[in-house]
This record gives sequence, structure tokens and C-alpha cells, in this order.
Amino acid sequence: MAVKNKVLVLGVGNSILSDEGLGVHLAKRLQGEEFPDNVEIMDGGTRGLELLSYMDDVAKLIIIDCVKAGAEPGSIFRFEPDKVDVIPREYKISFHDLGIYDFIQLATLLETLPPTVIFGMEPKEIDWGEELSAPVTAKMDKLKALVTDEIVLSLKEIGAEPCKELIN
Amino acid sequence: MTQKIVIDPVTRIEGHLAIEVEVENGKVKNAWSKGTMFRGLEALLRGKDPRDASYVTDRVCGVCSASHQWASALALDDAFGSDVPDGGRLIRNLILGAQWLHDHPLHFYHLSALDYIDIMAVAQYKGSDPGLNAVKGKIMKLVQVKDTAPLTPRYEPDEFSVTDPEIVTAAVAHYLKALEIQAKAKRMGALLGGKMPHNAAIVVGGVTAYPDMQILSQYRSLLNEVVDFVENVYVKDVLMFGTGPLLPLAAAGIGASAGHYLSYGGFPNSAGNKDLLYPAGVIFDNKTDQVERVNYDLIKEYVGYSWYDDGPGRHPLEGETAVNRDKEKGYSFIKAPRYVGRAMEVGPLARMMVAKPEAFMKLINSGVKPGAVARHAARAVETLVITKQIYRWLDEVTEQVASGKCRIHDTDTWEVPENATGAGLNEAPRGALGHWINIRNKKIENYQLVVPSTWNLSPRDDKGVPGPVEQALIGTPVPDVNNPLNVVRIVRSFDPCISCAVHIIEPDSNRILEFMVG
Repeated sequence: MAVKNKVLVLGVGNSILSDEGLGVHLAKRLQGEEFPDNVEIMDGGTRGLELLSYMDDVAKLIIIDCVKAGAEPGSIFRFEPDKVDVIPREYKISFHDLGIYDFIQLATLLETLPPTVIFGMEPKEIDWGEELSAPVTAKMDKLKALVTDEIVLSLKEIGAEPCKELIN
Repeated sequence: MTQKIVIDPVTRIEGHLAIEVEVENGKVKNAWSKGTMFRGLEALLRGKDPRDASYVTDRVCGVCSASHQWASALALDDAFGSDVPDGGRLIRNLILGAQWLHDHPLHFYHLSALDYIDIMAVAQYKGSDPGLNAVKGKIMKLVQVKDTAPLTPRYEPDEFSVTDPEIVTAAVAHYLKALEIQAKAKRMGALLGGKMPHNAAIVVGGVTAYPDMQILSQYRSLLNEVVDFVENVYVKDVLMFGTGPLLPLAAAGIGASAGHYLSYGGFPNSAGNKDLLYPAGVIFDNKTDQVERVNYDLIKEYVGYSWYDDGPGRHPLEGETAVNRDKEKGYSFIKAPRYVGRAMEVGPLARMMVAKPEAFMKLINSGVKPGAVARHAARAVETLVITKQIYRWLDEVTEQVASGKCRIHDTDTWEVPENATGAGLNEAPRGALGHWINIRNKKIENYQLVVPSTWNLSPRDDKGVPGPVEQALIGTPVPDVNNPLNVVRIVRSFDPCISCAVHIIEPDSNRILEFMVG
């Protein structure tokens, strides 16, 4: 067994479907920041089950995704996967689209899911395009700040020292 | 009395695939496949540097992204006149080969098996195998907390379902094992892909990441594990099911399309595009002994029943995408591609009908007719075919790297031509995949994709001829309209990829609003 000492920040979504890719956009922004060695920022893109192979050394998982909840575009949510019924009823019949739900479900089944927090933002547009919509763009700094706070908190939780730059 | 069943499977995306069937006297009388796909992708690509196409199209699909990257690079190789060196060709084969080893078992265990087994039979397992009892314990624990979501099919088992507790419990154990294995297969691709998860290696002219001996040896050790599973578990399970409990379904040919098969061919064993692991070919009207050469100019897309402005059948390179939702006859965003006017089935069954490997012909000769079960069998056999060859590719590349003679890229053709066209015709796990590019003034003028599911899930063409999935559904026995298990089996046997990588979270309750933080 690998030592579990890493905080993995996983931005998921499709970066060519405008707001659907907001998680990937945020991951790319975070990749430009300084973090301690045991923080990894990953562009998970549109991967589903493949993500199972990256959980070995993860002590805390932070997922950033587009969440469609019928709220104002740009609304930000923070929740743990077991706190919200994120699995839609029709899930069972999905023909071949293994996404982040499937990943969470199956990682749970395999007992490899680390403690997980999901950050989501309500989209405005989901259509072909590489740019985010205005209301989502306007909230990206806020989302970045919230995720950064979560990283600091997570490092404390797993008993690691966050670097000084992060606290400031 | 005619009853209509609508199976509207994917709720989490804007555009979805819906299958609608009309059942009369216990049989499907008519079927419609409705979907949305790739509309507007070409607009996104227009005006871009052509070399970006392989990176953008890689994001089109969450499952088969590397297939798009490869087809895109092939279209660009063609347009740029690139001569991909052996090392580049072999590494492309190894990245994609790993993807096939990932996709096919995943499709069987995680997407299809539950249509064929009665999962609740696990509760009846009385054997003494500690591994199987652990599986039983795991499932029973889920049943107790009423959280069997990943394992529960939507429909009730029927007379074809496998109910033997021993077989079912073993299948579930393999389902769990397959999850570990798929992750390993994906890791193999990532090793050579330079970046993970979305690899960045396949570009016009070859690949970008030069492998070292350590990477190749890691690849080999993962390959050994994956191949062991493929040979000793996956293929054995599929063949055991197909020739055992599912033989009645297989022998009845439930889910056969009209018998027109198309393979573009893929995985070059040597330089050029001639010596392919999966050969190219066309079969009409089930005449499997008459394999014809593919003439790519004869592909045309029709929009008579699609939500686009009417026009004549066009070659993809001349394709237009003007949305028209008001069309009375329209019922799908998918266009209807046809080859010499025929609705062609693409995918594993088409490939194996064209290639005719011994292991597959043995099944056909033992009574397995083209149809849903044969599709699963074809998928398993072609996975076996690739496991034999992938070691040869790995040996070749290892030898080249060891002797310092491995060339991975044709750097002479990196510059974009002023004006050019190119076609990338290839095989993705789901079937024939085509990318077409038209370059003008060094920019993308037009880019079109015809993906495997466009062929298989196509709506009717201008002459009213149904697409392969629609044809496969017509005539299917549906004894109970509230439990259309055969319909789902058939649709899934094509391994349809319709949602192409939208992966939004759409919570099932309003409780999410309590978690708003900004």
C-alpha cells in the first residue's frame, strides 16, 4: 500500500463545452500557483473510471465540477458526495458514459475513495466553445479562493504543513 | 395493439440518445434512434491552426479520446504529407492498444453484464470459495443499505438471464477485478502519453514523448497483468456465456442488423497503411465470404430525417451543419451516413466479419448468429487478437530505443501547408472513425467527424431506410413492454457512445441548494 499523504485537486469537465469545463479551467489556474509538494492539481478532463488509478496515495480529494442545480448561474456549492443524492435516478441505464458519479460509486465499492469534497458551480451555458460564460467567469476568483482555503484546511487535516504563501 | 416504449437513457446531458420502439404482438414493429452529436464542433475548429485539431478533438470523448487524437493526427499526416517513422507508428499503436485493452473488458463487465445476469442470485451462493464469499458479503452489505446503484440493472431478469448463483457470483467478482485492471490499462497509455489523464502525445508526424527503457519496462509489466486478465478471465467469461447460458439468445440472432458491415481498418503492423492488424473491408447483405475493398469517396451523409437544412447526400468533406429544428420529418441530431446508399454496421462484429480470425469463426460455426451476443463475442476475440500483437510492437520499439535508433516524429513536415485536404480513417474500439480536414491559408476551413455511433445509431436516410441499431431492434421479442430487456441488450451491444463526454453533476434532489457557499 502506498502512503496516503497527498491532497489531490481534481478539476473535471469538458473544456470544449464552455461552462461544462469550469473545473478544468480552475485546475489550470491553480496549476500556476505555488503549492507544497504533497498537493497535486490535476486536469481530470472528461475521464471517469480512469481516475480510480490515481487514488493510491491520496489522503484527501477535492473535486471541482459543473453542478446543475437550477440555481443562479455562478452559484458555488460545497458538499461531500454522501451528503447529497448526486446520483440521478436514470443513472442505471446510462449506456456508455462513465463520469464522475460512476467514479465515486465504484471507488466507494472498491473502498478506495479518500475523504472527498466536491466544489461545484452552476453553469449558464453548455454548448461548444472554449470560453466560460460571463456569470461563471465572474465567480472564478471566488471559487479559486474557496478551493485554496479547502486545500489549506485539508493539509492541516492530514497533518501536513501548508506553506506560508498559502496562509497569506 | 401497438404500444410505444421510450427509453430515454441519459438525463445528465443537454442532448441525449433516446430509443423509441413500437411493440405489437410481443415484437418490436418499428424503432427510432434519436440523438445529438457533435453539432457545432466544426465551428469551434474553424480558423484554428490545424495542428490544434488533435488536442481539441481529444476532448470530444471521455472514453475514446485517444482514438480521436489518432484519427485527427492521421487526417493531418495526410494533409501535411507526413511520413510517420516506425517509432512514432509503434508508439501510437501501443497507446491505442492499451485503450482497447481498457475499453472492451470495461464494456462487458460494467456496462453490459448486468443485462444478462440476475445479480440477486449472489444471495443464493452456497459455495465455499473464500473470494466469492467475500463478494457475496460485499453485495449483501450494499443490499442492506439499499445502495446497489452501480450493480442494479433497471429491468427485471427474463428467461434468458443467467441465474446460477455460482456463475453470477463469479461474474461479480470479475466485475470488481476488471475495475482494477481497467485502471492499469489506462496507466499503460498514460506512460507513453507524456501527460495524464488526457495524453498529449499523438500529433501530426508521429508522437511527442520519447520513451526510455524504464517506461517501456513499466508498460510491459502492466501489460502482463492486463493480458493475463483478458485471456484468463474476460475472454473465457464471454465465450462461456455465449456458448453456454446465452446460446439460445445467440442462436436466435437477437439484435442482428441488416448484414452490411464496414471496417476502415486499423493498427499498422508496418510502414504505410497496408499491413493492418484489423483489415479494412466492406460486406453487403451478410455475404461474409465476399469482402470488398473500401472506397472512401463513396461515403455520404444524408439529413432527410435529421434536424438540419435539407440537401443532397454529401461526402463528409463537403458536410454542412445548419440546424433546423422545425423540420417535420426530423427526429435526430445524428446525420445518416451511408456507404453506397447502405446503412453499415461498424464496430467489433464488422471487424471480425471482415478479418475472420479462427477463434471467431469457430463461434459462428457453433451456432452463434450475428446479433447482440455475437457482438460481445467479437469484442472479446478482437481483444485477444490485439494482445498477441501488442507484444511484437513493444519488442520492436524496445529494440529501437535500446539501439538508439528510435525515431518518433517526422519533423520535416511540421509546418502547416498553405492549402490541403486530409482524411484520417481508422478504427476506434466502437468502430470506423473518420476525421476529415480542409486547410485554407494555413487555417482550418472545415473539419468533419463521422464517429462509429453516427453509423450505428443513425436515423433513417432520405429513402427511409432505418439505421443499423433501428434495424437490429425491429423484430425483437419484447414479451413484456414494461420490461424491454432485449431492447436494452441490443442497444448496449453496439457500445453506443452518445453523450461524448459531458460530465455535469445534476443532483437528484433540491437538497443541493443547502450547500451553496457563494
